[in-house]
Amino acid sequence: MQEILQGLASGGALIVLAPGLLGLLRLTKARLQGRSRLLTTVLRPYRDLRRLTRQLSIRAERTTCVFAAAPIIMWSCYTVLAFTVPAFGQPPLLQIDLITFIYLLALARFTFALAGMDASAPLGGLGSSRSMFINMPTELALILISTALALHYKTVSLGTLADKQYAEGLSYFLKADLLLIAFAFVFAISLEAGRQPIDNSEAHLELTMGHKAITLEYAGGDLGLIEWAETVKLCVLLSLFVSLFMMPITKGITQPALAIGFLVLLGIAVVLLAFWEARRPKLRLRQIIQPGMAACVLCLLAIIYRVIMGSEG
Amino acid sequence: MTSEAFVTSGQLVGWLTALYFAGFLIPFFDRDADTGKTLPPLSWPIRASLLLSLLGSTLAFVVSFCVAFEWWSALPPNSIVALVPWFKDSSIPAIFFAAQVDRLGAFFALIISGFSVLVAIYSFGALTAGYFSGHRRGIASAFNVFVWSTLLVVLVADCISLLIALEFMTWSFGYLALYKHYKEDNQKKPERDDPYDHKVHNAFLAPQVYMMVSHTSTAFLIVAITILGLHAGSLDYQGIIDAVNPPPDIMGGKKLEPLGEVTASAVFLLSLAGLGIRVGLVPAHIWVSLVHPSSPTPTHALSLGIAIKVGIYLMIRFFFQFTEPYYWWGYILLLVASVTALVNVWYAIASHDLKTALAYHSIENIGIMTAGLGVALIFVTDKTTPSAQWLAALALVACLYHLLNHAIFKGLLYMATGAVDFLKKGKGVEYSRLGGLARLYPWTSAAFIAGAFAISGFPPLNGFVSEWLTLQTLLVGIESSSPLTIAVLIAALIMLAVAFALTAFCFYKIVSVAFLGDPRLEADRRKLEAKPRLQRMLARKRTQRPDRNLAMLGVMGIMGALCLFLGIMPGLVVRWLAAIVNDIPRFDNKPRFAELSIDHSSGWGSLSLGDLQLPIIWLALGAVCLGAIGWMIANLSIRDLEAAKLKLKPVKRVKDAWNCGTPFQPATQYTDAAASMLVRGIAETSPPPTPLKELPIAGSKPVWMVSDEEERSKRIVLDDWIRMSRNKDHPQFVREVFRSFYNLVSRWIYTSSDSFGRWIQNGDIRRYLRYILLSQLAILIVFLIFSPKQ
Repeated sequence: MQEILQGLASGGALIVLAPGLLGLLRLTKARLQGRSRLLTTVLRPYRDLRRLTRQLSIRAERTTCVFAAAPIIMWSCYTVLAFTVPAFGQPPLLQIDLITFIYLLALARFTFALAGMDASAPLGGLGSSRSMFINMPTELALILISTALALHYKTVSLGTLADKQYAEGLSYFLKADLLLIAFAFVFAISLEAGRQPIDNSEAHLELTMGHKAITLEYAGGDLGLIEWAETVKLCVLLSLFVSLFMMPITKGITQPALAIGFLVLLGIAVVLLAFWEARRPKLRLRQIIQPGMAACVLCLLAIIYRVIMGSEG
Repeated sequence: MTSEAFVTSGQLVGWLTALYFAGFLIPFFDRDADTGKTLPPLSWPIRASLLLSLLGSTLAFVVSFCVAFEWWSALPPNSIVALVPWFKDSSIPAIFFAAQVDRLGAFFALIISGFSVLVAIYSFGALTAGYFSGHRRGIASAFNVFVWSTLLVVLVADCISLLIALEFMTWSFGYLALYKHYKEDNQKKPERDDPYDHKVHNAFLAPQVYMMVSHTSTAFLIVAITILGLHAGSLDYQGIIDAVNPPPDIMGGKKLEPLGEVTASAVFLLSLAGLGIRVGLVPAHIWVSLVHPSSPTPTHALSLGIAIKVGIYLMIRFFFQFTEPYYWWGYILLLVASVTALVNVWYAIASHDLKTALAYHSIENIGIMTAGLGVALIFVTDKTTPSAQWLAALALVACLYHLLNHAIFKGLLYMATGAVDFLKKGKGVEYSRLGGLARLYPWTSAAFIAGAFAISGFPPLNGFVSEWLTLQTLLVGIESSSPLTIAVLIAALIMLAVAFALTAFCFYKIVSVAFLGDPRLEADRRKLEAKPRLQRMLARKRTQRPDRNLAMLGVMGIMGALCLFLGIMPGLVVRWLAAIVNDIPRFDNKPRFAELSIDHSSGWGSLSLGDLQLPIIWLALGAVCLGAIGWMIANLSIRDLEAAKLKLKPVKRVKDAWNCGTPFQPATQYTDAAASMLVRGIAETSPPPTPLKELPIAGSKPVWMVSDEEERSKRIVLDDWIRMSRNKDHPQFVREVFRSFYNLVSRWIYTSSDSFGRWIQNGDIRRYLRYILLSQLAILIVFLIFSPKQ
């Protein structure tokens, strides 16, 4: 019973914390780029959400129920993932494996891409075809990451992976394949969450928008839900990264401190992501394949390393 | 629990033959004139014929259901042997026919008959369409023969009857593909570059191509069967199986030598060629998309949903039972299968109409199933490690699961496509003629969209489970095997992962272009604008709701429910399939699948297949709850609640979509080509960059002054690059010969290296990325082959 409550609490905390994480990311980026920090605060996304959910939704003409259902399906996919990733140093509520994780992410993307074409406006189609195009390298990279992890740990179950990685402790920095996978995972996060080198989530010109062009047709509560869901996705991906690749640092700490440690590490990860994004121009559209291929090559190197070293490396 | 059946295999085949033969004959009483009109009640002979096929399929369904679920033991084999009367002493049979229903055959018969029950019901609606007018008689007759022969393929137990059944399948389907053959506009070659024209022409070519392809495949099979039969001295399945694994008591005195590696491999390659052509593995994939879209809708669903999988059944028989497999067979099968999946999904993305895209997707799914077979074939030869045997069985389960799933979701998609064709009165299902179907025909579109979610492999529908199983099998295989196997498995994994992602892309394109958005044809738009949306939805009259054809919609509903059931109850299904796999002799000494889980001896994760059911249900429930919360967040603001308290009507504003400030026009929608442009761009090679400097030339006129392109290329010749010595002592003749020889060689080397260099270094970044990937794979292979064995 207590485990269930803890799992619910950690998933709920991830969902609630997610906009704040985005706020931190934007704030750090603004500071790094020399923009005025008065423009944004950590709490800014929460205020945006409140403002949006108070407004009336507007439906585009010529839309079907796909358009209406897409934000809700997307939201429920991303939020249910928040209950499946290990976070705060404890096992998740629902045990799923990395492949199911990948497919749930793809489900949300697919539904939302359909909604983009539903309004029959050209810009929605533009955004959704770009989004589905990015999906291909992303899914390949994530599947190769799970292959490399499976080769090392003989499991792809998220909770078990985090446990085994935690048990490694600091010695995981000595294992070349795990470091390569961690690096590949960073690419995968940028690809999946549509962060800076891949896609500019703060774009304001339709032609430069990727995934965001789909949201042009949404307004009010629906738009708020979409933006929240996007932040939850980023938060889920980052907390998976933290649990798999940063938590081993905290080995030896017991529970209440461990949860705080997780939060601190999550913050550090966000700041690092901001550094990674800040001085990086957006890639041209067709070049988006390149980070995906880079992630795949890193994973292949990790696999080669693991196969050559056998079980001792 | 298992009891004796009250029919034998021979009786079953006899009853089926009687029913389907009657169903074949009755339509000839029909006086079906080519009126070209939709007729709501079909004429009685057509209905009787469909009813008979329904009866036959139900009988086969009940029997195979009982056998497949172990309620009955396998039906005892029957054989009819009649010797040639005028050679009294010889044993040359004039008629030889053997039938047997074992668990594997029953599984396939279950799918075939269940599917044809649904198709027969669906046909009651679909055959009323006007464009079938004048063809209904032929279609109903051939449909009966087609179902009968497809069932026969999995029920017979000897090779001659197998070939005969395959031949019946070929002819009946060839006849079905013929029905568009004699339309007046399809015999001329397409003039315009319009996909519709090409399709019409394809319909003209289809029967010829199909006959040619099928008979090529049969030729390969005959050779393979001849080799097997000569070796075993018998052509029935049991004889061939006994020759492979001679049982100690039966064979007694005459001990057979096993087939040598060369002969066995020849049998494998021949049967792979024969069956591969039949199911459409690369490089024989082209015919499927040419032939199948030309057949009438009901059989189109049947042929691509089911009949093509008969090839998978025969592959299991040929590779696992009739021969003793060698490990490298699996490598070939796995690689061919993954390439098939990848290539065909590209074709599907590039295709311009619904039926062709679905046909390519069928082959892609055949590729996924065959990949499962390939993994099974790799690991079944490893007799020493128990986990390898376990893995082989798991791979076969994944294959069968995907086969079952594919039959259901692809059937759903085909039937929905057929319904669209029906509702559009046969005016073509090209994307350029569709669009906005979800608003025109909401129920049919809902069925198609559900099928699209299932085939793209999204939880909680069934496609996800089998794709998950296939990927897990590959992951477990990578963990526990030799270096070469790891390299092959990773190559297959990459190709399959890309194929899975592209399937989602392709169905995004299909659904959004054909079903969402605004209609692309003026007539459809007028239909939509005739009435406001709500009024149309609430219209009570049946005529005003065109897509409420009960027979068609009901069948699609059943299939959609099956998609969901197979998706959320994987544990049950896997146990059942595992029992069937256990029944195949090569897999029978494995542990029963009660403990089937990914958690095998080497400590694979905590997720067992039986438990997978639980997370999926919990995931679905959680997603529903969270979705409800999301809906509340989006729709229930405080202001709305206050409005509700004051009993104000909720305001829902509808505005035109953002079209960059200009009014909406249907022509500005994204087309299928535009939607897939980015993905197709990966495969298309960019044109080679223009050369930086011109090659040196002989002659007076510089090359850029030669206007004609051909003339210019002719003049880029390298004359006298190598000058012989000016030594006067050398005879003139020798000097000339050597000069021309060396110049010839040097020219050849120069031009070939130049073109090769331009080819490998064309300045295209994607090409260099491919080099990086290929070199990684090469390093992997080299290291894996030469690394010391641990």
